[in-house]
Amino acid sequence: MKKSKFIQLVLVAATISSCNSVNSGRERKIYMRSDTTAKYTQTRSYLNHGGFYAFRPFGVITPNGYRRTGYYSSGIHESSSFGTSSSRSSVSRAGFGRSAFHVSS
Amino acid sequence: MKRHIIKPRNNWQNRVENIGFNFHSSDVPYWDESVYYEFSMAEIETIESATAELWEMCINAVQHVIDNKLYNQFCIPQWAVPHIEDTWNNDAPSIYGRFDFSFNNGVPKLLEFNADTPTSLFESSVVQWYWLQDFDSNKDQFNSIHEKLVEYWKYLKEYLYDYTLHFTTIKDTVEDLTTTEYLRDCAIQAGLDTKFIFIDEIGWDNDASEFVDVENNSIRNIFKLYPYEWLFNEDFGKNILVDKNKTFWIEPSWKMILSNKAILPILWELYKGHPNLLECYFESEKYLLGFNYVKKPILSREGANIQIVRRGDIIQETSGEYGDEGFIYQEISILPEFDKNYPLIGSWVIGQQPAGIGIRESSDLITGNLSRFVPHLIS
Repeated sequence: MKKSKFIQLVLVAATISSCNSVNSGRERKIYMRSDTTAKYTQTRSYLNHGGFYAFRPFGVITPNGYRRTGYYSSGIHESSSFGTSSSRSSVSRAGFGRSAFHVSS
Repeated sequence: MKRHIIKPRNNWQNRVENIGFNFHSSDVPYWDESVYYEFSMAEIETIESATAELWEMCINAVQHVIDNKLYNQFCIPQWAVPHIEDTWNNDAPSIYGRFDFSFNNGVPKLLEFNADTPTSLFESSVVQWYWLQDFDSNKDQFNSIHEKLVEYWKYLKEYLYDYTLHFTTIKDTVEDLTTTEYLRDCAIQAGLDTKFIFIDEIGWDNDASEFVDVENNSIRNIFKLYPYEWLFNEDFGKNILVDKNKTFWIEPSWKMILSNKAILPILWELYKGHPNLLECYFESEKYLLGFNYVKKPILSREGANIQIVRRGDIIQETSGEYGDEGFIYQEISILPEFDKNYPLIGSWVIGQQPAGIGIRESSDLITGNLSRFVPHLIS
């Protein structure tokens, strides 16, 4: 048998199509957090200024050097940048993903 | 193998976008249904059997590399070797790979094997199949990729840890996101619990010695569309070795051996004269090819940094940033020409089996990132 009889997609069309969603032009309320153990709060609206929210890393200096512990943005409330997870301080991120902008081969 | 020029569907952009294919065009067209290729069943069976045989040969070649500790020829760092051998000896889960063939006079010749992060999967499996339903649903296509992906995820379920299967790739590229999300789609249909995370969001918990997702849950199984030569060279790379969970990374790290073009001279050494192989050597033996060869970096992507040399003169070359790790030298196998178009056949292995083909057509002898994906059918 060489031929697919039936192909059903449960995820791809919706997920990828949303990448091309068109901005309606109306300002929307956006709720964000940069720490999954923090609460969501409404963001300051940057949509009229290009729509960018800049997230900057923060971290701690340890005997083994600097360790990143999270991200903050001036566009979201402080209470949404710093959470309550007890394991939070031992987790660092962004240690993968710097090598290139396109994987295809 | 015949090339036919046809009229694209009137609403083809909508047709492909409705199934989630949004990178069909960039500055130049990528999906091109103004042509298609027709194969006879005998030609398809030739490609299918060559794919199955080459897969077996590749497995034997990996064993040869491991047995003889040939890692230096692959520029694989010594500290990564224990992980590679561990995933090989424990038969760590693997899902897919794509052989690239030239196809002249009815004989597939192996140009390279994309064994770690092959793309164009969604186009091969879904987009060209939907095209065939519109173009001529009575015709057949060498394409059981979708069913085999779903079935193989089902098969792998019992070999994975009883945890969520994460999927990851880089941000800001719809093509890579589509490939990753398509594979996740198939895993969901196979009954697996899945979650997506971008690669730079992956966390390392230093106290617990484990990788975590954005909710700080352990990552125990993860499919990554991100090559090992990058993964191992980044800040978290060596953490893979000290990960207390021994997380399953899919593809497994032994695929570093097959995705490296250094496997091509190894295959030639082991199977000299095989009809589906091209003569191929490392630098020290390149004189055996005389003054006619294709020079390829052992690590490169999308046709970068390749030279075609005839009678000592470079007749075509591509630019890029690869080559620091060394080169291999391969006999020239010119792609077949159809009115200045050069098709390359990508033949998929899903699980352990041949599963279908996708064709990328280029206006040059070297298939690069400007090539077009063209559908096919069986006459």
